[in-house]
Amino acid sequence: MPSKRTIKTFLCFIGLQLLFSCVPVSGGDSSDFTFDSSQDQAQTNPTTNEDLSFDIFDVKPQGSLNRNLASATLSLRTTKPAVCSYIFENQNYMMTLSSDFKLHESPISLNPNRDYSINVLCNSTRNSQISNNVVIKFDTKTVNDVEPPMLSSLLPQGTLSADTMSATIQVVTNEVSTCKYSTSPQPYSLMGSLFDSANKLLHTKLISLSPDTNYLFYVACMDQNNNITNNLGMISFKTDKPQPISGSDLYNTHCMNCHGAVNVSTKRGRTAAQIQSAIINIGAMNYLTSLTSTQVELIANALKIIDNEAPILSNPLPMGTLAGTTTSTILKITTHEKASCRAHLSDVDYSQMNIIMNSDQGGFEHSVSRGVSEDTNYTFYVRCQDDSGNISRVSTINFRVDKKPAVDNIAPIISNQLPSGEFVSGTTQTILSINTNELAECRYSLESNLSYAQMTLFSQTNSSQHTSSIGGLRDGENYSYTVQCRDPAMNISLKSTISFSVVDGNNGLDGLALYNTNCQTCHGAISTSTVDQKNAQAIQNAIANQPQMQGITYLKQLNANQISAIAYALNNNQNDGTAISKLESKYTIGTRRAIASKFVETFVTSSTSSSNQAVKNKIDERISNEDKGIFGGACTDHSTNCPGNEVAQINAKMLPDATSSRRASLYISCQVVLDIDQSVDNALSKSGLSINSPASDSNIGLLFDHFYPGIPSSTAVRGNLISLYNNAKNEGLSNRDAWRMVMDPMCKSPLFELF
Amino acid sequence: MKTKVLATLFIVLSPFCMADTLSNVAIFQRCYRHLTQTVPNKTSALFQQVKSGSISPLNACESVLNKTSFTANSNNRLSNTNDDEALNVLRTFNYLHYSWFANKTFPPVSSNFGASKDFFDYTGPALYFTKSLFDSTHKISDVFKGKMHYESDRTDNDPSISPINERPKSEYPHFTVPFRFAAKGDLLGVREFTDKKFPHTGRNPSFTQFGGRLEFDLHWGGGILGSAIYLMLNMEEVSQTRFDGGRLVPRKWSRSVVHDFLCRDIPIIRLSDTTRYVDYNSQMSFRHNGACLKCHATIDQMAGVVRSAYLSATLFTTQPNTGVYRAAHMQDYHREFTPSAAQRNWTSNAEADYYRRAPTGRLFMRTTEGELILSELDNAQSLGDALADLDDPYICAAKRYYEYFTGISANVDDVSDPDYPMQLSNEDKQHRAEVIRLGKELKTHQNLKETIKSIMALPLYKESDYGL
Repeated sequence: MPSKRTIKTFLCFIGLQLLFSCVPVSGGDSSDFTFDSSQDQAQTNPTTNEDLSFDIFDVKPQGSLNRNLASATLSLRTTKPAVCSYIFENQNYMMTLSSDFKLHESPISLNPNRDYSINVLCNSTRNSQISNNVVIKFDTKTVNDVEPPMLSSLLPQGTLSADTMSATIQVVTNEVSTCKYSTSPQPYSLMGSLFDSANKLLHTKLISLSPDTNYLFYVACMDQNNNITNNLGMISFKTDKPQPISGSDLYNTHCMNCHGAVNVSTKRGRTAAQIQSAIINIGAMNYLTSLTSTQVELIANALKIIDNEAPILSNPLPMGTLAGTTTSTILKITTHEKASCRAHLSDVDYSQMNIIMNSDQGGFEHSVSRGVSEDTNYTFYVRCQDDSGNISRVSTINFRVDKKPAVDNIAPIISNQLPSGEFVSGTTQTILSINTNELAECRYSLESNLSYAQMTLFSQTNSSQHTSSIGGLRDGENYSYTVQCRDPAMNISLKSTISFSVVDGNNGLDGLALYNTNCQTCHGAISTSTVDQKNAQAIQNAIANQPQMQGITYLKQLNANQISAIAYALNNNQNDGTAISKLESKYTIGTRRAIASKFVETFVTSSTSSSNQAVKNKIDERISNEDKGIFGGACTDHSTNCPGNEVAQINAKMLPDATSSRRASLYISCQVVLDIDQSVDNALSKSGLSINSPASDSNIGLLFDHFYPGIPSSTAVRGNLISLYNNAKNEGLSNRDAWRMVMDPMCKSPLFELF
Repeated sequence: MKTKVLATLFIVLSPFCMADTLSNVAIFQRCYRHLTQTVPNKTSALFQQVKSGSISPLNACESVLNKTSFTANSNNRLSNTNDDEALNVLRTFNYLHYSWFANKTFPPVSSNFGASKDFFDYTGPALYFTKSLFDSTHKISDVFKGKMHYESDRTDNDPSISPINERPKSEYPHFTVPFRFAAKGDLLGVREFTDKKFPHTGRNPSFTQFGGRLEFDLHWGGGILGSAIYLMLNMEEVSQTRFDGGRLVPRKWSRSVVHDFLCRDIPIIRLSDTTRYVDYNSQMSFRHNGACLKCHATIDQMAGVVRSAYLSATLFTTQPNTGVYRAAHMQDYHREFTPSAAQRNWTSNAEADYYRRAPTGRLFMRTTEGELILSELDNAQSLGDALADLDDPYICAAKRYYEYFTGISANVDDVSDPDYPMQLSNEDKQHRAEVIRLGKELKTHQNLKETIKSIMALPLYKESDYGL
């Protein structure tokens, strides 16, 4: 059975193979050790009978040492390979080994005026049970000191990084000393610089450094008995050359953690001034004030967005034909980024273009005035250059200046003044609308005695159709708008009027009595009426369309005033006027599937004919595929019936925005679908009509209900649709085309997307 | 163009005056379109019943919603897979759920992940909500619980041609067992899967043969949070990252958790909450000031629960130096190394051992109603449990549906934060209060269909303009 100590020694020996120096084996309690009587046992290898006993010799130190010595090295030799350990200050230490395991050493710290007696135990490496021991005895009482201090740990040495601003030079002495240094070799007495010697053994001095510099210090020390080092110590090192720091490195160090990698930074494109301002003004960035302006400039350079993209030109103006009276016009072009533009009458390089266009403040709109002549075709070539020097492809501004017209002295004639008649109670807005027999600009006013110039311009004018939306209408009011138009030859028409009225809520009628007479039987007392839509338009619509009400003769005889009076009474004598304008502008529920389905429900029948299928194909092509991103509706390629590329599918929105591009897409879709005759025929057929059906109020109502099931139509709206039909017929269009024109605005209405 | 001459006449028709409250038919049009993303057929029996008044529009729509239920195949599939209406409802809501997630497709990494898409349906995270909506045995809180993997049950669950790259199985490199691509076709249900591992002996671009297996079924717990598909969509974009708790932290994932399940964007704590984590001695500059910590303190600490996850990519080729396909899957360092001791405190500096430590973390946030939450987490499941205990994930789900059905995006931020930059209008406050109420009800009844019905029954849903 090996002893506890033997096992610990063996473990430590195994550790020695790896570390070549050992640590205390135990926590420090020497009672843990039990000295066995190895010397009493046979000193032979039991297997080979080889003699493994060994001697210990050359034991150091011995005798009396200088009292100023801070440390000494225990040293001994064994005649055969062994592992030695000793107890010192209640700790068990292993001694370091030479490669032949015969020289054993260990440094120890010393105190002055002490007697030392250190037990060292050595075990054979071949058989740990074979051992020998020795007691090393010495003291530290000698005062006759003639030994100079020995220097060690002269630091720093080598190369320090360029950004090291200071360093502590140091030297360690083996006895209490005072040390000095100089930059040239000098005797100790002449050296001018003292080290700071906190514990008299370690001597340090903090010195400032500069980059790219060599440093050499000579060091000498003197002990308490005035012994001075024989040879000067040297501390030699240098500081590196400063490396130029790139903007990217600076960014990575100071900015990346908050703003992401430089190539995808949230601050790409920021200028040095902007960065500097942010550092000063944003509290959380104050810690960056140590950056120099040069460093900030480098960061800004790293964040610069490289612009390889040439300006894209759009919206060239003028276009088409200008009036023959035009003597000058303004050439215009728009760029998608800040740019400078030039024009020329032939296609030459940008640098050779001789017409310099003026740019607006943002640098996006560019224009220049040019004189023109009548009866001439013009083509101006335009190129633009952005701030990075990228030059656009050529764009052209094409237009014609017409021949001067013959003198026009005939004023325009106004027709088709709308609206007219009565609006039901609660109507708060309408559209003023007139036509003219020639191109004209038209104005309107509630006052009849104003001059043309004093009147208000129609919002849509300068054509042969003129419209303007007006609001603020009130129950019980009669309205008479004076309208007047002026053609391009400045001929002003006669004044004309648009007259209409909004009936009073009760219009002098007893709404309660009318309700009790006409409605109470089915809907109960007015206070608990089951009429679910208590407004005049809905009631009017219900009388016309609800099967249960259609057969009741006396209901059909109610006029608009009476219905308004009933609604007025149903609403506790309040008006019920509303509109959906806010909804139209804010919310659209139709994704591509919904919109395509709406088109199919409206314009496709169950017929298997090829013409019917052509309508369906056109709907799929336009809505499900071409404009899928605009109409929205998430979709992935893992599902079928999901055309389009993967990225577009993934990014398509489930809640599409009611954007102008979406509106434009709906317009185009309506146009291409309605261009197919079969679409018109199908919509009429599904409404119970044909192309030869007259555009009567009831037929228009049927078509309206087909387009927007459950949405009531007003008399005025139906009247407008009838006017559309009639105008088309008056222009000589066929019945089908006239119906097509009625359907066109119905298809393009926001209601078509909503219901 | 035949219609061109009429373009300027459009305004003659607009605006339509209409009632505040919609007619029954119009309400039905509205809710039917929301549920199916199609318009109702006017000749259908249901439309006629609504028109005649024999059924209320909301009851009609509820019947359409109710018949869309997973009652077949152990509550994993529609029983009426030939019913177009039910298919439309299922498709609509799965796409709606898919649209809720911040990251919708796999990260690009350094090369394409084309092959991954053939095996993983990247709408996978949406399936957790879709399952909850249409499986009556599945509570909404189950979204955050367990180690369940879901995949689409479609009309073709073992397509012979891969769904994205459209490669036949015979051309697909080197699997040594029968394997299947992600399903293709119309969605019929949501099914669970386990043990989805495909051994292979592939060849790399040097045309050296190598073995391995693609594993799609590792799970870190917490339902959707620790599912392989959610991690894959939201993991850092460098393969085989060893997170160090400093610069390298799976914070893209935790940021997505905040966005996807709380309907919030970081920061979700207040500046005053950050002081405890400011450490000027840290090598991480974001630890030096509260402005950065407002985000990092939440997402970095939360990310600790998936610290051992990493994205691994395998290269395949069929010809030397060409035809490389990179298939990615999630792997777990904790399978390769025994997890070392937990480091509960948020380490101030990067630590080489971070990814090997036990997956602890913290949920540190302010709720919608301003309560400060600091929960110690032991793993992704404890994050799921902590979230499921809050009102906020339910408020978030209610907010998403409310927005879909009304177009109104209700504010669910911590508006009581003294630094909150916006002033809510009275209308904003009303919508916010409504969504919080719906969310708290959802937390109680745990049924997404009930929430949808509650929204359709709101008075504003019957208003032509949603009361805007």
